[in-house]
Amino acid sequence: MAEDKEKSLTDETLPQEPEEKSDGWDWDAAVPQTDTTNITFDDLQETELKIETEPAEKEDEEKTEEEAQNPDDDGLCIVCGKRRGNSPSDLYCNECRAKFLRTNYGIGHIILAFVMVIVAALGYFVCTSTVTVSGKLFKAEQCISEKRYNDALNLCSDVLEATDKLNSGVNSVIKGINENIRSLDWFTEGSKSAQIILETYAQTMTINYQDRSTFTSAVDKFVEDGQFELSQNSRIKELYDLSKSFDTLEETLVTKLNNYISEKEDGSYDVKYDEAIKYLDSVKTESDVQKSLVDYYRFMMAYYAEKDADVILGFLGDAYEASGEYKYLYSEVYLAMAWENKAYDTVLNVADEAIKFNKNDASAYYYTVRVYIEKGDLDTADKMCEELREANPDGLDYYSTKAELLRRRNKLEDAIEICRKGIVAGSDAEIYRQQAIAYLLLSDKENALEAITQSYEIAMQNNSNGISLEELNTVALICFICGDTDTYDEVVAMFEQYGESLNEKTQKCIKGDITFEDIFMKGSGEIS
Amino acid sequence: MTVIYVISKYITVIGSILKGFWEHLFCRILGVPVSDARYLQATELCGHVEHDFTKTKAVTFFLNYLPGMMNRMFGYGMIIGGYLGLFYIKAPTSTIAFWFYVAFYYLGVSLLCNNAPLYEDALNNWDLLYGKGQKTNIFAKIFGFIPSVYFIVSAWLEKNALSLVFWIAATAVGIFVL
Repeated sequence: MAEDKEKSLTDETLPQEPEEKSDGWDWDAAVPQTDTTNITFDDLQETELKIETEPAEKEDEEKTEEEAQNPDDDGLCIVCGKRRGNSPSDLYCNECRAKFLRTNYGIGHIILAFVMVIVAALGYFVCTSTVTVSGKLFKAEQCISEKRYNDALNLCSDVLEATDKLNSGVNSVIKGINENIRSLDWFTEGSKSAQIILETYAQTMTINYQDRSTFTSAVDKFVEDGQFELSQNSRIKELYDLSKSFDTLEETLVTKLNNYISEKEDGSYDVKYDEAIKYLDSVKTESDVQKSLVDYYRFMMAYYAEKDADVILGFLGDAYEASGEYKYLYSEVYLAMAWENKAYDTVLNVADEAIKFNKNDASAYYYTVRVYIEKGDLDTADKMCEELREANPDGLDYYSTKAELLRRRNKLEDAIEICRKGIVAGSDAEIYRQQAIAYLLLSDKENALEAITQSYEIAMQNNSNGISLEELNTVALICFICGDTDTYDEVVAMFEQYGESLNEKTQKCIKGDITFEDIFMKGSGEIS
Repeated sequence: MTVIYVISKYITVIGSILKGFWEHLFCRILGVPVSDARYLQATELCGHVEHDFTKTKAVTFFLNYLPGMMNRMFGYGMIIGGYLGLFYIKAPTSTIAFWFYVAFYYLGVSLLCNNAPLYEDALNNWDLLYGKGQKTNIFAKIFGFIPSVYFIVSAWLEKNALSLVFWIAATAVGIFVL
């Protein structure tokens, strides 16, 4: 390192001129460190004589010692060539050393260092956000590998939300500086999240047109944004193509089937069932999966024609079986129809397959629990209820189902308590309904009315999918018992508007033929 | 080998200049004379400053440790953010975020390719702590061991431009494997 010192010295660092002696004056040495009051003139003369003879000897001694330690060292400063003397440096004399201790920084370098401090701070900000997003995506990937698709989807939603927050945060800071700068996407959830979102959509899709459309639109959007390429994932591509082919086939089927079905004034349907089935029999399909869609439309025709449960479930079963590896497309509707038609074994079989395919399938757990409650096997129902919670820790179905179970076990206080927890966790109409039933069974009319009113309000607010008959009948019954005639009349009017009426159990209870306990503590334990 | 070394230093120019600056700064703070403060030059001193040979253990250790630590401290956030953004999240090229990640990744690599002391300084530190005839406190020997080994290994890697090769390999893994 030291060999080519002289070569590498810059003009800036080279000493220009020998400095004045005063600069190099050692003030510490000049200040007396000892008491001089008792020194006599003779002492000074003697010392002067000594100094005249000793320096040369001392210098020679020092030089010999240094040379003995380092034979290559000539004891001279490598910059100015003067003797280094008592300099602590092995290379420079005191003057050169003092100069090198103050070597200047370049102004550009100082600016760079300051800029880098800011950039590093930005780097840590970006790092924190990227690590957060990556962490969630990593967990989502794990969920997919464990077939927990709903959890994966929830994590992806968190990622999208986090990215949106970051972008709006940065944009608001920038707008604070200059209002004219347009908002930009500074952060992105990236192609990884696009792929995970599409995978979860693909695995949780149903035969419902809305679901299929959500999936295909998401694929189109991500492809357009350059976040995803169909060639990246063969499974997604396959499902995308299938979905598109379903759209085409469905369009043809719907156009033709509209000729065989019409809505009557009272809201029921007039179906030319035989002709519709004949037409569907004539439809040629390219694959079994496409055939499943035709079977699905056979089921729809049978359903609107109000055929027997066997016929309805038969067609739906055919569609389910024909769909092969895409059975999950039909499992939700199959479960609901099987439950509605009291085909409990079918419900258990389909739910079992659905859970194997998607461990987060809340509806499969829900129907399983309901079937076991219906069968009176409350222990198994309770076990499945806990599994439902394990699979969907954030889901609200657990609270209402558990409350129903506790009610059936006559643990009404516990049922109210679990509903309270559910209300804290998020609350939905069903939780309030279960709480109202439990309160009324405890003869607490005031709280029962309050809970059922909440349930009714929430149900009315979220009525895009319609209000269940169970909900409306319970509202009517509890309001009647608790003396809220206004709400009771409102619900009855709602039924009349659609040419319907309160169900048999509700009517009997209102007439006094059966008690509230008979409905909710005996038999199926449900109003429907 | 100096040619490859100098090329690697010029590729990671930001980190080289900054490392030279930190060395210069800490030399002044620790009272070590600096005779050549050109941070970029086509010699083995590229990315460093020419300073007096240090004789005390503490000064030598901190002069080895602190400038590199500054670059590491600055670089970690950028490299983690950049690497994850580019190769895990896979920011699309059409987004602004992609170019931010590219810039951060380059700066991070640039800083982390310049976090080692000069090889001679690293050896000097080792000699002062563990050399024959050195009376070093046992605690200093224990606590200084891992950093001292790190100084020598990282300085050797940097001297042979292998730290840049490592990051090029990491980039290739990001592109082709992740």
